[in-house]
Amino acid sequence: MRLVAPFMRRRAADPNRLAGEGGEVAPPLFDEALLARLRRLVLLSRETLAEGLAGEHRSRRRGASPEFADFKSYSQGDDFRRIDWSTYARLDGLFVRLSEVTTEFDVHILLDASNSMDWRSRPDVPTKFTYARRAVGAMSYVALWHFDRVAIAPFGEALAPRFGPAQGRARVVPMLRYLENLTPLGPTNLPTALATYLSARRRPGILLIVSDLLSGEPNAISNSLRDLRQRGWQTIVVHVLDEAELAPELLNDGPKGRPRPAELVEVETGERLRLTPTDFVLDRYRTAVAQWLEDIERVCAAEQVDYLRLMTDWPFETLVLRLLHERGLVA
Amino acid sequence: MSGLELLVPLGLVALLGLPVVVLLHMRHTTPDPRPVPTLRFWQAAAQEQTERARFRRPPLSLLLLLQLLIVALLAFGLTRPAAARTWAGLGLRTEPRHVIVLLDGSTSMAALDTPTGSSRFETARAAALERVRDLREGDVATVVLLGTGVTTMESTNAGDLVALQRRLATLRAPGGRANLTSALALTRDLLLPHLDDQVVLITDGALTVDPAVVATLGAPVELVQVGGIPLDPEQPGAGNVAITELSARAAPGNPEQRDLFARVANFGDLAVVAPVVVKVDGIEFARQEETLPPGGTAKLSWTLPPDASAVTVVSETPDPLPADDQASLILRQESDLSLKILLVSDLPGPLQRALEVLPGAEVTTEPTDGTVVQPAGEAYDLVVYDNVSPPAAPPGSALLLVHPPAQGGPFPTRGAMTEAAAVRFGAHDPLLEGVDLAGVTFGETPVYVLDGTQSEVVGAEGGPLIFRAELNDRPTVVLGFDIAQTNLPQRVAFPILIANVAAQLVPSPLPPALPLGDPLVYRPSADAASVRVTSPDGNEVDLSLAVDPTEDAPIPADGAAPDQDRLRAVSFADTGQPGQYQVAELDAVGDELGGGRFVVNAGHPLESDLRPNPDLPAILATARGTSTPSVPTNLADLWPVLVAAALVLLALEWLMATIPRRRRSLLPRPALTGRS
Repeated sequence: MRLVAPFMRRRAADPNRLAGEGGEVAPPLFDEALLARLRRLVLLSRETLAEGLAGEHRSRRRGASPEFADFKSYSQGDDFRRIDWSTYARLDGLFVRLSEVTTEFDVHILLDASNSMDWRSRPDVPTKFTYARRAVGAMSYVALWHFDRVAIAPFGEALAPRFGPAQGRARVVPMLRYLENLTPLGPTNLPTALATYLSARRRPGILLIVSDLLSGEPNAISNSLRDLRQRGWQTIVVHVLDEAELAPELLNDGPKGRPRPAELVEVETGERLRLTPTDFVLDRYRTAVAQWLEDIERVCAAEQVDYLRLMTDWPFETLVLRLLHERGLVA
Repeated sequence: MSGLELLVPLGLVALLGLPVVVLLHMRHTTPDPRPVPTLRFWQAAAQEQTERARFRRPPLSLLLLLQLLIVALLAFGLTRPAAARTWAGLGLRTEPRHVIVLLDGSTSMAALDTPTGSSRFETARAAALERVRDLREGDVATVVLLGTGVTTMESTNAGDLVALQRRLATLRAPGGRANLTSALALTRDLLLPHLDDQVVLITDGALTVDPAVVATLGAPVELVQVGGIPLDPEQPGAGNVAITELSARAAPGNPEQRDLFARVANFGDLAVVAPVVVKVDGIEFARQEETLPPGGTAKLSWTLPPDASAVTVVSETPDPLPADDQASLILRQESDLSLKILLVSDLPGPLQRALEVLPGAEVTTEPTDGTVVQPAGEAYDLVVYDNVSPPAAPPGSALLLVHPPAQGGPFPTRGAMTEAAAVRFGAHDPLLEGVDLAGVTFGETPVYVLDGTQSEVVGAEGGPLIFRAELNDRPTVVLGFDIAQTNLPQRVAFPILIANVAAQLVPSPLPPALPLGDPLVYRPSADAASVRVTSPDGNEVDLSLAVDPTEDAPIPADGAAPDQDRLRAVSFADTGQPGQYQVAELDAVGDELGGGRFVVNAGHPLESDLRPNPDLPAILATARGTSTPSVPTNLADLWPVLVAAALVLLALEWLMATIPRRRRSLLPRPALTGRS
């Protein structure tokens, strides 16, 4: 933990580092208590995607490690050096000792760094981007701590310079520093970024897509997810939302509860829309958002993708980690 | 509206702002922008919203009413509504004024018969200051200070007005006799036709004025009278007692002694017994009581001791004007200034001796070699040419010509007189004071032909023997006879005659006394570079030497600087205080060369009469304005009041518009507001 603490102190002591969120100094992404909890977690995979020998995950493969796993009858081609002669003496049959092999995961994280992520509804909650970076940091921390290979690729309309692939605990601090220094990249295009990223990866692994998913219609995302599934990737979609995106009635701050005309400005494109948020308009809004969420969940289920929705007002240390655990993403 | 007039009705055009304000309120307001992560759901939700209309029904709000009221007030103010005097307290004057304050600074204004016990002049000055302070930007103020001379001060802008007030606050009475007629004539020239001219005369009323000048003045005159409060309420008729005249002359039969003459006047309506004290050199010399009838005078005389140098006569009757209760006279200047004389003569003997015995005389003798001019860089008080003609451009000094040549001399001659004898004498001519010419023979003397500018002092049957003349504007005395051929040098009359000539040509530069307010014109000695005058209150004034303003010599045709040839003089006009003034001559490095003194007496036959001229108000009432101002001057502008009201409403409107917004900003941040 000594690796992390000085880093966190340096971040907190930097007065020029303004969060831009109400002018407050940005809190560190993680504190010591959270990191201690994260160190006890380990990533899980539904599928066998482990590779290599450096990790701590048990592999189905049997190798030559001193860790005994099982016996098997000798067959032609087996390494006769692994014949257990003691068993032969007792049972008068040739048996070969099988050892257990540990492997690591390839964890790929695509982080949505669009302007729409850099938004929050009120000062006392973090922006979606901050919340997403914490989630990415937590997953990456767990993976690195257990010697999994981690790559983090932020994207806007295109991929930005990524972190990793990195492996080992020594890469924890650079990973956290990398996340701290990330800034929004402007507009976003998830299908394009996803296609670009996959085109350079032949070996499948675990892919986390952390985004607000506002960059494309669910159908377009569906195609990308299908492609992932066909290539053998285990995909997890982490959907980050602000509560006000689901509860637009908070927009009504007019006198005596009357709706006040508002001019809405989209943060990514600057497009403006003037309206009066009447109950009718708000109902239609809720319907549209509900339909959108339903479509996303349907698409994820259809493509066998784990879908996890995170609200930025949820306490990260308790609720989110518990949710990850319940979904079987970590153990 | 009765008594209300719109000076600029065109200003009503500004009422067009009213519909503009209503129109602005009918427009849909632009709401505050709120950032959102995406518009995709809002666009779907707001498809049927109709926010296209640009105008709406005007909301009947207090803000709208306030803004309409503000515009109406400003528009009404632009019309420059002017109200009658009854409303004048609410606004400002419509037109700029030109106030001319005639401030009487004559001797009578030194009287202390005011309610506050201060002098009439101080009261008048305070009244003048009040008039000037009442002025505003755009007004013009002119203050004309009346004394022996007239001083004018003017302000045409705010800065000048402040400077004028400061100057007025420290102004001192110049004293002397105020000439109201000439001051009003000057005022007539100062009037500004495009302004509302107002003439205010602040005086004690002890003035006379020419009614014809008043009638043609061209502006009304407001008379502000000060003073006139009797010192003793039980004797309101008691007036001022003054020493109005004081003089001295040699006693008949004893030139060493002098007789002092004084006139004491009672300007009251009651008879008074005036104790009169004579002080010689500060020591009481005589005392007597003189009964003065109402409006009467008494002439008193005393014979002074031979060595008296100064004398003061004091009337000890308490009266409103203490300044004229005493008068002084300087009988003998204790001057140590030298008298520089240049004698141009081949036989200077008798003349040189007679000149050298003059008090303080420094005689320089030069031969008549035909090129005699005044040495460069050195000045003489008196230049004597004996048997020689002065140069074409004579030096800038007084001249004594002795037997100027008949041929080529400065004066035309007509033959000569042989054995001339004096038969005609100028009566009471100071040149002959103490001079006995009986038995004097003058020898052969040219017969000089005198013109109208020359005057004979002593004449023979054939022509003048001694006469006065001016040579190039220089005072000149001519002794027509030849010193070598007359027996006059053997007589005692000769040095007396020369002394009288020197005294006349180079008179004592300081007068024995001056009336209050009269300027002192002083010709210092040749070595002096400046003159320091110390007033009775100890105030010192250094006067650098300048050309005698009374001299009016023509500019030489060759363009040479005329100043070198003219007598130098200083003028000191600040003689508004009665008492003794010290005069000191200073050289170029500031060392004192010598000095003298003179006395300023306040007593005056007219100024000591403090009673106001009863005809003055009636005469001044005949002054009428001739110019017609562009607007009635009895109106007052109300636009400042309207603008002030509009500003108050504007502040109220601002508060109403901003307070709800501030209150909103204190509430929790509404939803859907981004960080950017």
